Amino acid sequence: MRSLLAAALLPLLTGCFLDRAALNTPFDPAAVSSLQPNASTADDVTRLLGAPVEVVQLGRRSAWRYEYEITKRAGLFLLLFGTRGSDTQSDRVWVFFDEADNVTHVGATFDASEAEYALPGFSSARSAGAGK
Amino acid sequence: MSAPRGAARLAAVALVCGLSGCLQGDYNLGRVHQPLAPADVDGLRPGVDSLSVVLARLGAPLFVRELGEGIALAYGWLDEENWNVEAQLPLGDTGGVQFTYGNTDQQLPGVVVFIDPSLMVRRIERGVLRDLLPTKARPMTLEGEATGG
Repeated sequence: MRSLLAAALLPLLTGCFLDRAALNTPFDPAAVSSLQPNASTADDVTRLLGAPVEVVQLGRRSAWRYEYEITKRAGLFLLLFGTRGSDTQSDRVWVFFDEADNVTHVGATFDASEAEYALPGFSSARSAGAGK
Repeated sequence: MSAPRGAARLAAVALVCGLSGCLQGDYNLGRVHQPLAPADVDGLRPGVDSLSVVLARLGAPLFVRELGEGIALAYGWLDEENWNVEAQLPLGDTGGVQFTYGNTDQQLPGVVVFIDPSLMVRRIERGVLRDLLPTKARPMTLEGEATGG
């Protein structure tokens, strides 16, 4: 009887959580792939992707960054032991311009969907360069 | 005291310590961004490959920095597990190891690809991004532009 009572109470002494946080708004991969170096302009980029989250001056050139970031956290707390996992992944685009604001290069990575609720020992192995 | 009774008392002490927060163990996992494939990095050829090749092979960097007349592209990631055991007396303060992620991308290990003014790969370095990235050089005056006073 005592064992049954202890077993019934044990789950009440533990806790767990799942948490998901997003930074910025997602953008359409199709819009990114429609950007053409030596053809698209800064106006095209702002029309398709909106305002960048960062602008970097590179001499007479410049580069704009777009990023949508997802963080997923999970935690499990037992009596004397707790385990937590945090996974942050992002969709990220850098668009490079010449001094006339024409697009010269585009680099894109789409990894936000790879974020997972991971706990040590329960998570899948990472693959390099997954969302390139 | 018999062995079973001693074990029971030890378990009871551990339970009390745990419930009062004076003994706690943590096992944490932290992941930030995806690692680059080593073959993709090793395959870049300084003086031969261009910025276009770097972006096509490695994707979008975390950071882009001006470096003289060239550019530095920084790629970073983290995938680590750590554990921590914390014992705490009710009257004392102790700190523990805790994984946190905020605006700390520059502390990540990774790769920086240095691009020369002709937009060709000059060199590739590995390490902590904060140590590899150039310190901030702006503001600077572009040739032919007056900044005024």
